[in-house]
Amino acid sequence: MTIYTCGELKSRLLEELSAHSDATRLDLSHVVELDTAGLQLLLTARRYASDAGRELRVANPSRAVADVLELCRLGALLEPAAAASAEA
Amino acid sequence: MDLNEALPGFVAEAGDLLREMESALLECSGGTTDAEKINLIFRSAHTIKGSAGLFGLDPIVSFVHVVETALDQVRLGHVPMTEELVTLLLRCKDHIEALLEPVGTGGVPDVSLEGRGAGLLTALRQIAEVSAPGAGSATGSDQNRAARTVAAPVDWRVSVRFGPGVLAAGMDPLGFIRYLQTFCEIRALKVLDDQLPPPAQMDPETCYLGFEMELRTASGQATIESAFDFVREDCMLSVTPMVDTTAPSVRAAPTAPAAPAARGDAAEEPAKKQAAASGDSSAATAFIRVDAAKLDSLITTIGELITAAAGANLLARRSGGSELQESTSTLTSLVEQVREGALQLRMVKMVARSPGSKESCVTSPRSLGRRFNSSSVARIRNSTKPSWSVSPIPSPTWCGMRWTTVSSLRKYGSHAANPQSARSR
Repeated sequence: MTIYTCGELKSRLLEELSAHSDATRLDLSHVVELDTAGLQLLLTARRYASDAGRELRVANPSRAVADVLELCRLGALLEPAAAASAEA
Repeated sequence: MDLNEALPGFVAEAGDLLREMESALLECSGGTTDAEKINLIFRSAHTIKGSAGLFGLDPIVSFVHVVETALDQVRLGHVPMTEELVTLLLRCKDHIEALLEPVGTGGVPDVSLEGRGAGLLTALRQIAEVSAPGAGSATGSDQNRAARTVAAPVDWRVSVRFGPGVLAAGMDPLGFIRYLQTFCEIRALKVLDDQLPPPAQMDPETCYLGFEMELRTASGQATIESAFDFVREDCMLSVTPMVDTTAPSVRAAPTAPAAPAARGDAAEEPAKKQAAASGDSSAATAFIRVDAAKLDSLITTIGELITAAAGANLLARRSGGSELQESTSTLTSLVEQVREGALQLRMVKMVARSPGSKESCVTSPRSLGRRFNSSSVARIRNSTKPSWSVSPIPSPTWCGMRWTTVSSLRKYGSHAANPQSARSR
């Protein structure tokens, strides 16, 4: 999820989120790179979900995702660790 | 002009710096340890580290960091510049060269380099540690930043908001924060996302974020600010010392970080450091920052002007009117002069100038005047030694911030910033 892909990703992400109105998990296990553009897309997705009365959490964060969330102290975006590892 | 071109520029420049470092080291090996030489070596390392950081070349940053730290100890007089150390530093220099090579060619770094680097660093730390005398500096941690953190760290509150265009300009604000991590302990961080528009209106390539951080570092305000040099014109940055209420710090947080005296009485070391720094800055005071994009567009226009003038010249000759010919040839030679002038301007090193000197540079016409009078090829990064002498046109432009399009960055990303992820993308 980087500046190169965010344009396309944003519409896909929001489409998916509105198509699955009960979705609360975002599986980011295949994300190999996350930059600032990706991060703010993630925050946008969270806002989109919360506007719809849902709480969006990241599941299975890849190393890249986990690094950024840790750097930015955004661990709250993650699913509780237990849930995440149970899913994995 | 984009990062593809910027990167070779960086490599070339780092090469120059390393050569300077080498010759200064060789002079030191004669037993003379003059402060100027050591300062030069230190600055070379420092500049390479800073630039490498901006290109996300982490292995280089972390290696040079230790070298720089050791050099800092030498500079502060805590460690003597022995033959042994000179030899070691020369080997470190070779190692940095080896690290740079794959960056220049886009190749993959040799795995054996890692082991060699680690060995050098261990040796370096041993020398710098063992011979570091006195209670002040010998609290020595094994950490990379031994020298920096030992010098009484201070807490800072840093608030930065990035301009909307920084992402499209090819910069990743997270990269700046990661760079801060190389010399700061990030004690707290908050992502400021209040500017994020409603999802529907959010443009993925516009930057809306800001960051608020609490940093602990022995480096000064200027060093923190300099981490943002490359986005300085496109961000709102505030760096303020925190009044230390919670953290048990050995020394009182300075209320006036700019005043050397305020630091000096708390600890001798920062005072020395400050003195060294101010000695530095008197030499490295005047810098100017040029918007390279404007310069580029000027040169492009001049290129078109030359073509147009040549066309007019040709037509004039065909038409046979001697007055017309004369006037077009005058025009052509004037255009040539303008072109020469513009090209010389471009030879200026558009380098992030020394932190803190921005204002003095901008507001002091005297220093500007002197600079431009001294030579049309201004040596922007002035120091006691011309460590940034003029080199051929393409090479110095890398730091000129001509990072234009996102697409142009792809190539850069694929061979430099993060090879693994680029491949798997």
